[in-house]
Amino acid sequence: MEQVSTVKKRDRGTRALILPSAAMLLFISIIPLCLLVLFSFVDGNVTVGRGIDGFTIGNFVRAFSSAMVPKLLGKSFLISLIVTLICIGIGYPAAWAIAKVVKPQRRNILVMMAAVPALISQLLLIYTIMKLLQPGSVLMEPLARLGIIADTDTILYSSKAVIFILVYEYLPYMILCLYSVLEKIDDRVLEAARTLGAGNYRIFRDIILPQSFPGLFSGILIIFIPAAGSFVEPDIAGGPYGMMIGSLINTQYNTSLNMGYGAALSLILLVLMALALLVINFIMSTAERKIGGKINA
Amino acid sequence: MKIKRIVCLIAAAAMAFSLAACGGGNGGNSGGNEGGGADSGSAADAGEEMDFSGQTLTVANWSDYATDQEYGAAAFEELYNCNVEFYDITSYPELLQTMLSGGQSTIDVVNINPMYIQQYYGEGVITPIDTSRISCYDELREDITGIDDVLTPDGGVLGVPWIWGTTSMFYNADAVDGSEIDSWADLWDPQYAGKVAFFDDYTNCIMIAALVNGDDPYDPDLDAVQAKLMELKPNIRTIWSTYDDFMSAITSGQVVIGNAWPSNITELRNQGMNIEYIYPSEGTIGWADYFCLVDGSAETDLAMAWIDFCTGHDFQYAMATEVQPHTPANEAVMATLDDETLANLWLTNPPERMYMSLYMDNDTLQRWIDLWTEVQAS
Repeated sequence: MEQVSTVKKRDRGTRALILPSAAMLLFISIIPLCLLVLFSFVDGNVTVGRGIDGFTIGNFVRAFSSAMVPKLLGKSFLISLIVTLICIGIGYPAAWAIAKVVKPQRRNILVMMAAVPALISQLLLIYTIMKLLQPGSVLMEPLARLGIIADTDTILYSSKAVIFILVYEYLPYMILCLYSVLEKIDDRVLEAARTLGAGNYRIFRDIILPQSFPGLFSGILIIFIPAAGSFVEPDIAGGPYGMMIGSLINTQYNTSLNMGYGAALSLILLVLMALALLVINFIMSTAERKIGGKINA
Repeated sequence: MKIKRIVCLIAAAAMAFSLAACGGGNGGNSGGNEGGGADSGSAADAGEEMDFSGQTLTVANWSDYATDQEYGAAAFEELYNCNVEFYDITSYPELLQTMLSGGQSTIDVVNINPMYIQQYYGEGVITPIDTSRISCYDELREDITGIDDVLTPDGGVLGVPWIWGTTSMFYNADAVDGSEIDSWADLWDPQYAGKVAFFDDYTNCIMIAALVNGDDPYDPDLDAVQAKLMELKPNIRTIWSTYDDFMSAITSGQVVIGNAWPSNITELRNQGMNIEYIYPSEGTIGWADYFCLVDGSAETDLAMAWIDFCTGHDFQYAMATEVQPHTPANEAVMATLDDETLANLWLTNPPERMYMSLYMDNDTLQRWIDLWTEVQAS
């Protein structure tokens, strides 16, 4: 009986510890999400302390009947996908190098270095990268001198510049997510596989990749959704064809003062991104099963 | 000693009397004018009569926009022994939203474009101003003072103009190969493909396209405007919205022509760029900003002193003669500016035709915003 009572007390203690994070989840995630759904049906603007003009499905009708919205959604989705894939492509070898190649005592400093861009102001990062992409800059000048590009060539004010900036902004998150799982892979397992005759590709496919799926999925989650909703980067560096869905949503809040429509667009984007993540999750689960069963890292 | 003191006191009193009011003299502000062009004007009398020590005035304005310079808030604080805090505007609709949601209680004075003044008044955010307390009110540029857009239905004045200017056309003279540029239509010239900087503002974009189409810029055929703006897109390199965006694009040589604010162009010229700012033959786009009194402000007297100060001679003169000059709304100050200052303001030959950004009803506003958004998204 005494043992049961101790377990119950421990359970109560655990629940009490969970309370702050549960409250945070409620106030910064669940309630705002409910408000987003509610506001997406509001006719016109939403102002604290004032009444609402009424509810309507007109915001969704307007969004689905617009030729502009699907176009911007498709473009945002594509740019976000490219950014995520590039982050994976660069992030994997970088995270592997930090986790397994460099000496253990240097890992912390390299992890910190990888995280530095995430600690810098977003606007400062954008303007700095724009300077780097200008013709004659330290990045472009050598390329021009080598004859790879013309003196006046630059990707500035195009979607390529937006992708470049977004990759720079989000790459640290992918490296950190992958590093956290790659570091846990037991070196002895890799050695055993090698001893049994597995090549690098097989080791990657059958051991490293399945064990890094949780980190990979976290990285995709952190990058894919916010990248699709970006508006500062396309507005500043995207040029006349750079507009993404985030810019249209921003216009509803900053210029048109039509929060109802802005909320409806945000909700549509959120649902589409959630569906995309479900698909990605399904693909990864299938791959895990095909490779050799689910491995919980 | 006593005689000396009495003489000094009489002299000081005589000076103060002679500087009594803006119309008949100046206000005795010790700041003075470096160029000596204008009388000091306005606010200091009130500064001597009223005690604002320890009080704080909150002003909503764009950042790095004259009032937050040394000759602005710092001079005002010194004059009235008070504190000035700024609320940085990012957009007028967003500011309105903030004020309606509670920010109204902390802001005393707000700088608003006439396009939005009626909207702010309709929402109960601003209140009419007693213009008799603005000593230089009669000196303010007549065509922007007391216009319909800043009046209540019963004639109350909602805003006092303190600055005006143009968003006109510029070109890099070294990059246009001697081509004669005098029309907005030149922006559409295929030789400038990918070299145009265009201001991200639906009013400017639509009015410019309307002028090129030969249409009424206040009530244009919007389909024709949209088609015209779509024609321009291949020429646009960047759609700029901030000072940094614009300066970055032009200094890197990415753009050679477009529309901009004159202060930016003056700054670029001072940096050695061979750049011209012109008023196209079709007419140019003008704007003016107004200080408005927030309804329910706890610092009404200080707020009025601020508006008085910002339309007074010292501030207006300093504003026109600084490195990044702004055009004063005070005509008496304008009359004192020398040729070099006028050249820096690009007003040696003022625009013959200027179309001001004015208030429009909500439906029209939404149509204009949607049009520009669609052009950008296409």
